[in-house]
Amino acid sequence: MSDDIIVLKELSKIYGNGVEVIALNKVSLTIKAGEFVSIVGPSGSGKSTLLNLIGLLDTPTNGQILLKGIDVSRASPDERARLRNRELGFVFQYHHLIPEFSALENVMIPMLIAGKSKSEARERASEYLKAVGLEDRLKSRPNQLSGGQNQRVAVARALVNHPSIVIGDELTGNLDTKTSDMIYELLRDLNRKINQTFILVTHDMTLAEKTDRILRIVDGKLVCELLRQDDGFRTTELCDLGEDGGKINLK
Amino acid sequence: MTAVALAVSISIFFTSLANGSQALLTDIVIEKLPHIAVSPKEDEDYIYLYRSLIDKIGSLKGVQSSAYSLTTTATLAFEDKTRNAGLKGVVPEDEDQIYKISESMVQGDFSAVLGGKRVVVGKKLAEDLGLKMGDRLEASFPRAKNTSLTVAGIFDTGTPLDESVAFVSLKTAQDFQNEGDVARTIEVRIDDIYQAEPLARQISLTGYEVQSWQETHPEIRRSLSVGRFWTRISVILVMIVSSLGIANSMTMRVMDKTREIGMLMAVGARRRNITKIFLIESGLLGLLGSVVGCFLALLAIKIVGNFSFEIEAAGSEITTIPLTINPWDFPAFSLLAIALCLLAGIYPAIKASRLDPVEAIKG
Ligand SMILES: Nc1ncnc2c1ncn2[C@@H]1O[C@H](COP(=O)(O)OP(=O)(O)OP(=O)(O)O)[C@@H](O)[C@H]1O
Ligand SMILES: [Mg+2]
Repeated sequence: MSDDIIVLKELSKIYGNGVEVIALNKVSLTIKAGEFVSIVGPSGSGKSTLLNLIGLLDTPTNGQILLKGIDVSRASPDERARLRNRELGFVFQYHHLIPEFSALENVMIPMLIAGKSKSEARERASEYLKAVGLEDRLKSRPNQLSGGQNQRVAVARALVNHPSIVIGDELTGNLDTKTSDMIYELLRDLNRKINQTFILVTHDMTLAEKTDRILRIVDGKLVCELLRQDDGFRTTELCDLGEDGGKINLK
Repeated sequence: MTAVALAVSISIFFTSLANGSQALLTDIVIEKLPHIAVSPKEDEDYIYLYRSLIDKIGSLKGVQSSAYSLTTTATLAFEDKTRNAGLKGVVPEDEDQIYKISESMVQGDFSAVLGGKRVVVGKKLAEDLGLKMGDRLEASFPRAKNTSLTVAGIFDTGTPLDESVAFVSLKTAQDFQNEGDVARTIEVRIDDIYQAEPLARQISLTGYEVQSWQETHPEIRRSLSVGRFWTRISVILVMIVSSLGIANSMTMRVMDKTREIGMLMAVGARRRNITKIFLIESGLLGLLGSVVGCFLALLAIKIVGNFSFEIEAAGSEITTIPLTINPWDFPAFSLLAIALCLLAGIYPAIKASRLDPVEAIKG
């Protein structure tokens, strides 16, 4: 088995209620285990659509998704649920914590769904809450925490099951620079230590520039790919960087 | 939850009320009415062989007691007043088994009728005629032998008997009618009043006319069954309305929780996990509502049970609203409510589990 953790083959997503919208147009892409990838692009270009497909939340109209070499593009809802639970961690722009549950209980949910014991779940959940700097807020409810703190709880929830892939859609969108940096450092640390794969959609170019690989999507097409090399980035193909790519230091 | 609580409490309360009034009616039947009445054969005026017939009836299973009597209409006159009433010749001891006259005596003794030409009259009749103990009244009727009777007792049962019947001994009644040893009616009291009809059928095999209390008092039977019918209808209606309420509030809840459902799906919850969560929630709603409902019902029964009022028809007795609490109603209606909640929760729960995770997360 190769270390290609995700392979997309000519992946398309077409929304068709009334007018057809081609949200994703024949995207082919390979992501290796342990890569730290960011996806950028203008609003409505299909970033979230791509992420939802990789995250097995959505099913493609055409094309294939291979997860660890296995075609999962036509898996049943329950099979996809199982894979999301074991292999994937999600963070969205809004945290979607369960308001009736404490921070600790929210983080425990994925482990309990995975069938882990309560004590084990409690232990690991507190460990991750500590890692995001919330060790003294374990018992707090989401309405007792700030937006940034809730987002950190959501990050802990995404990481707690040791997923091989963590995907984030604008996960630092609502955070200040300091918290955003702190979360990035945490993710980067895990990436180095246990070789977790990260795929983040972001509008924040400073964050994107810290990652290993930047994918730029416009109108549902992968138009540009930048790979980190030493201090800067090199393009793999002809690249139209457009508005938000201009500042990137090319070699 | 409020809907369930109200449904359960209303159901229990109404059922108790209905049971209460039914118990009151059944009590009247059990205590104050003969359960079965036997009359002469179709083409005869009297029951001639009443002694052997009463032995036969007495040997039937479920028969408590029976009494024979001879009743005729008579015009009773005292001073310048007259009244028509039933002159009923009885054996006081047996008659007591059916009508409990001895318990209702205000003056004198019921068994005093045995001492010759004596009469025991109801309080109302005595007032109408202006009778006192020891007064002599004249009984007459076309083709009957005029007889003067001494008032030996006055009773007050609180029923129409008080103005329509005057008791004499069987012998006195037979003499008044110029008849030998005959009776016209045998009245029977049985153990279980709902066995009256089969027992009546059994007795009618002898060829005599037999009527159960359901036939002699169709209005009581009607109000018993009508009461039961309406109680059931209102319980069903209340339960249906509250189920709709539950279904509605669970649907709202699913809509409310869409984002969280999406998130749970994203972290790997399966469809049936989601279904289960919402089913458990409606079940808990039902359970909680039932517990509150039971307390509300108890409270309502306590409050209403303490109102007292006067019933004119039953002879101006001070009574309270009849409520009969059947303890089994509480678990029964609670279980019914919980089951209905689960049923009402199925559709919203399945709807929740069928949400598309992507759409759900967007909210
Ligand atoms: N459920 C849907 N039905 C129809 N069209 C949709 C649906 N979801 C997304 N689209 C369309 O697909 C395209 C891509 O949407 P997507 O959400 O992936 O954009 P995005 O790159 O994430 O944008 P943003 O940066 O604003 O989040 C858009 O044109 C959008 O209108
Ligand atoms: Mg998006």
